[in-house]
Parts: sequence; structure tokens; C-alpha cells
Amino acid sequence: MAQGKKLGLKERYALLTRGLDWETTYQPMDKVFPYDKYEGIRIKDWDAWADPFRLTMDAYWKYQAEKERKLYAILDAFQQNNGQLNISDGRYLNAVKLWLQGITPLEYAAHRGFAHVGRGFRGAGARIACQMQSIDELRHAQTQLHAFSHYNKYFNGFHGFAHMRDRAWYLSIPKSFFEDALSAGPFEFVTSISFAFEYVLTNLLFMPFVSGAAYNGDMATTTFGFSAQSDESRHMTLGLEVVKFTLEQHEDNVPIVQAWLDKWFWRGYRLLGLVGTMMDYMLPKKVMSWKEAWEIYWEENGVALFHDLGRYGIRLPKHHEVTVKEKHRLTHEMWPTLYQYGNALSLHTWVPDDAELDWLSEKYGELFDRMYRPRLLFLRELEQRGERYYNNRLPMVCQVCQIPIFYTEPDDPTTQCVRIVEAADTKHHCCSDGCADIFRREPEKYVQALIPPQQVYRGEAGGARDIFEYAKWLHLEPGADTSEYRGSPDHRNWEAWQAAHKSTAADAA
Amino acid sequence: MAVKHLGERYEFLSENRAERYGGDINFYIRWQRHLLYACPSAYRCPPDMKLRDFLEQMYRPDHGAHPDTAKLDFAACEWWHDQQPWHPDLEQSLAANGVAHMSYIEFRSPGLDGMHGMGN
Repeated sequence: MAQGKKLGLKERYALLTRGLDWETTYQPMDKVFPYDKYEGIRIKDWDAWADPFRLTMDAYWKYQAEKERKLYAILDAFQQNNGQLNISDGRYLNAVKLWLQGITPLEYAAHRGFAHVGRGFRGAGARIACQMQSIDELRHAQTQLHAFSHYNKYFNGFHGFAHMRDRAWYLSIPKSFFEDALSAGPFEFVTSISFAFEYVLTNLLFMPFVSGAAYNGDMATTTFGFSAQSDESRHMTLGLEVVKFTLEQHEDNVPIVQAWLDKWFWRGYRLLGLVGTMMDYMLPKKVMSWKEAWEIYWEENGVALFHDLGRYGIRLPKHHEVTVKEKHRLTHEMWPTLYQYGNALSLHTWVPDDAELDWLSEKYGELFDRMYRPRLLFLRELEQRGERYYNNRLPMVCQVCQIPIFYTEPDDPTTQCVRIVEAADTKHHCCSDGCADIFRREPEKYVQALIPPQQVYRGEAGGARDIFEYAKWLHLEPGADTSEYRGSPDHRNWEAWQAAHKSTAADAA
Repeated sequence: MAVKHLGERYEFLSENRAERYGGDINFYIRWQRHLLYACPSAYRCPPDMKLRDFLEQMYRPDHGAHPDTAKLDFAACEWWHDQQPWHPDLEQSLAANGVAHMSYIEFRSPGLDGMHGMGN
């Protein structure tokens, strides 16, 4: 057999994404690819799709296999050396619980979503990119579960993430975010997930979690974070390519894409409030404040990106100015919300200690000192009196982002913000003009939302009649999985292990 | 606007429509300038429940943590229903006062403006 000349990367990529594709003849292409036209996006030339990475399957398997080998070697070492004892503080694990419960299921949902759209596009270049991302996302879900499973041996609250994903009130926030995208057409899906989330906002997710993990001595999480990083840069490139390709193909696409960017910027921003709250309140050693992160990653980088897209006729997403007004208070409103509904959370909450309050004062200044610090100190006072505050009455929840409606008016932090929207048969409530706009654009979609407190009142949460029965339905053990950190089994164990660890170290010395 | 869709129709009833409550109603209430309570509270009640009974027997016990709660006089409050000024008769039922499925009630208590001068 004649030995051919070895092909270069570019040629191999061209053969994979162009040479292997064909126009169908037994069936019309519109029947083979039924989903990629109905959203109104017009594509003149699928071959204009360019993937800067030009990754082929053989190279993909090779890179990923190398990363897996390194990752699992480090995870093994972490487990054998009782790495859980070297984290900054037992409270830190609550940030990891939030990731496991809220973010890991999104990785799996992304795997499903990209598998679906990877079949849906008639352009082979786009299909290949989505297929690889689909496999990446499945790998991320797996590596996260493997990294976190070690903590499940020692700490509470890790056991029921899959059961809770479809039931817990605070997990319906990330779940509904992704299912909104999964149930849209393929172009909206890639615009929402690849561009708005992975390109514009991803730094606000990965940076705080992975740097936060490193700062707090969590080598397991840090390692999967780095293992995922090269995939993430590929995903971000896909995100930018998707939007540029779509905008360059036809001018009629511009208003459609703009409406998606308006929607998904807002939905992504609302989801990231959970991450901001983790940064400001849950990390014992802080990386940066939510306000600082928003200034760097949105107000500088994100706004500059949108200005670059101005040449396609794209403007800044609607309500972006509200996010800047809210940066001073978002996390200080969300943490007390989690704190008071803590009887139905699979993680612990607490009032920050004095050093942490001082850090928040330094980062947030005068409004924090006048408003939120006294509020937190009042909660501490109740706790010290033996009356640790819980709100056991179910909250009003936003029909779109599914976050309990704790936000205040953009220009007045003393007045709560509620927007009433009407569909054919029923009134609904939204947390903001951003979410109300999203509802009004597609009311038929959002009236179907399963809102957890309403589900409880309709008797559809295992017959639960109050928050305690609801927590039981989530498979949560009161006090062990839920509620206050101080005095919890996690807290007591942590103190005992640290004491034993120190005395062993002293004996050895 | 409407959802773009592939099938012939894309129409759905609200998941939380009134008839799924067996004659009861699901409604929401918030005490203004008391931000200790992070969110408006959700209730399910029979519509023939007297408004005062709801406030005294359900709302007040659920919201006992705030130092203003013990001093709260519902008859002296200023009220809104679905964000419009409202003059309820506390001795009448929820339904007679116009409270219906997915109503949103707010009230303000003159002289009780929360803690720390910030409505906490």
C-alpha cells in the first residue's frame, strides 16, 4: 500500500468538516434538518463557518486522555492525603455544595443541549464543534462528581444532588435557566449558552470558583477547574464564532440575535447572583468582591465586547445599567434570603464574623455600613439570644428567573421590586423589568413554569404542607444538611478533626 | 409577541391556574419597609376567610421575629392591592375585599418604619 503524505491540521480539519458532509437526495435537506430555520435565522453559506481551533477527533481524544490521566492522579493523591483537612475552614465546603447542586447538573444539561443542536445544524463545521463541546460537558460533569465525591464521605449535604435538582426551590434557578435554553431553537441555544453565558459571563463563574478553591486550599476543585480550562477557551471561541457567523450571514438576523442577547444577558446575570453571594459570603478566604468582579468582567471587558459588536448593529443588552446599580447590594440581599429560608437548603448559612464584616465594609462602603451590616448584626443578636431567625413561610418567586423576589428597586434599596405580568388566564409576578420583558416576549412559554412554592401549595411536593415537610421531600436531614452552620455536625466534626490534626502534627514534631 | 414554534399551535394554560387549588386561592403579601423579611410571603387560604383572621392568625405569627410586629395595628395600616391603593374592611372576607387568586397585597404601618432608619 502506498504511503501517502501526512496531512496537516488544516487539511485534516477540512476533510472532517467539509469532505465528510453531503447534500441529501433521498430526502429534502429541510426534512433532515427540521430545526435550523424556524427561528427566522437566515444562513446563506454554511461553509463560512470557521473554527479557529480546527480540532479533529483524533487530536481531541489525545488531548482529553492526557488531561484525564493528570487529573485522576492528582485526585487520588488528594484523597490518600486527606486533602479535606487542608481546606481553609469547614464553612468553605458550602460553596462546593452549591457548585455540585447548582452547576454540575448544568454541565450535564449542556452535554444534552449540545448533542441536540450538534444534530440540528445543517452546517458540518457547526455540528462538529457542538459535538465536541457535548463530550466536553459530559466530561466536566463526571470529573466534578468524582472530585466532589471525596467530600461526601466527610461532610453533609452532598448526598442528594440528583434528587434535589428537579425539586429544590433554589436549584430551580439554574435548572430553569438551562431548560429555557434547551427548549429554544438551536440558534437561540448556542447564542444563549455559547455566547451570552460562556463567552460574556463565564469569567464570573469560573474565576471566582476556581480561584476561590485555590485560595481556600481545595486542590480537588482547583484541579478539575484547570482540567476544564482549555475546553472552556474552546467553548468561548465557539461562542464568539456563533454570533459573528450569524450576524455576518444576513442583516435580518441582527434584531433576532439582539433580542436573544437582551434576554440571555439578563438571565445569566440573575443566575450569577448565586455566584456573587458565594464570593462575598461563603468563601472563608475571599478572592475579590462581587462588585469588583462585575466591574472588571462586565463593565470593562463585557461592555468593550459589545462595543466591538456595534459594527454589526448590536447594542448593549437591555437593562445593563440596572446590573451596575445593583452591584452594591445584590449579594447583601441574597445572602440573608438564603439564610432565612435555610430550613430547606442542602447547605449551611451563617452570619459573617467581625473580620468578614470589616472586609465587606471595606469593599462596599457606606451603604453596606448603613443598611446591611446592621441587618446582619441584628440576625447575629437573634442567634445569640437563642432565637436564630428562620423564615418558614414560602416566598413569592419570579416567574422567569425563579429566584425568590428579594430584589429592591434599581434606584431605591429600601423598596422591594415586584412586577405584575398577565397572561390569558392568570397573573404572574416578576422580580424586575428584565424578567418581565422576557415574560412578555414569550408568555406562552413562561406560564408553564413549575414554581416551587406554588407546587407545594398545590400539594404536588409529596404532599408537603410546610417548609419542614418540603425539606423531608428533598431528602434533607434537618440541622445536618440544612440551616445554621454553627453547632452543626459539619462544624463540630471540623473542629474535632482540626484539633486531632494539630495534636498529631505536634507529636510528630 | 409570541413564541416561534414548529407545530401548528403553541398554547398552554398557566401551571398555577386557579382551578388547581380546590376552591382556595394562592396570594402574596408584603410589609413595606421591613426588609428583614426578604421576600413577599406566599399563602394558600380559603377565599371566605375573614381578612382580620388571616392577618392575626397566619400573617402575624409567621412574622414574629421583627421588633415592630408586636406593635403592629392592621387597622391603622395603609394598603395596596396589585399595586393600587386599597381600603379593605378587615371584618370582611378575603373574597369580599377583592383578594383573588395571585393577588399581591402590600401594607405600610405608620410609625413603624423598620430598624436602623433604613427599613430593615
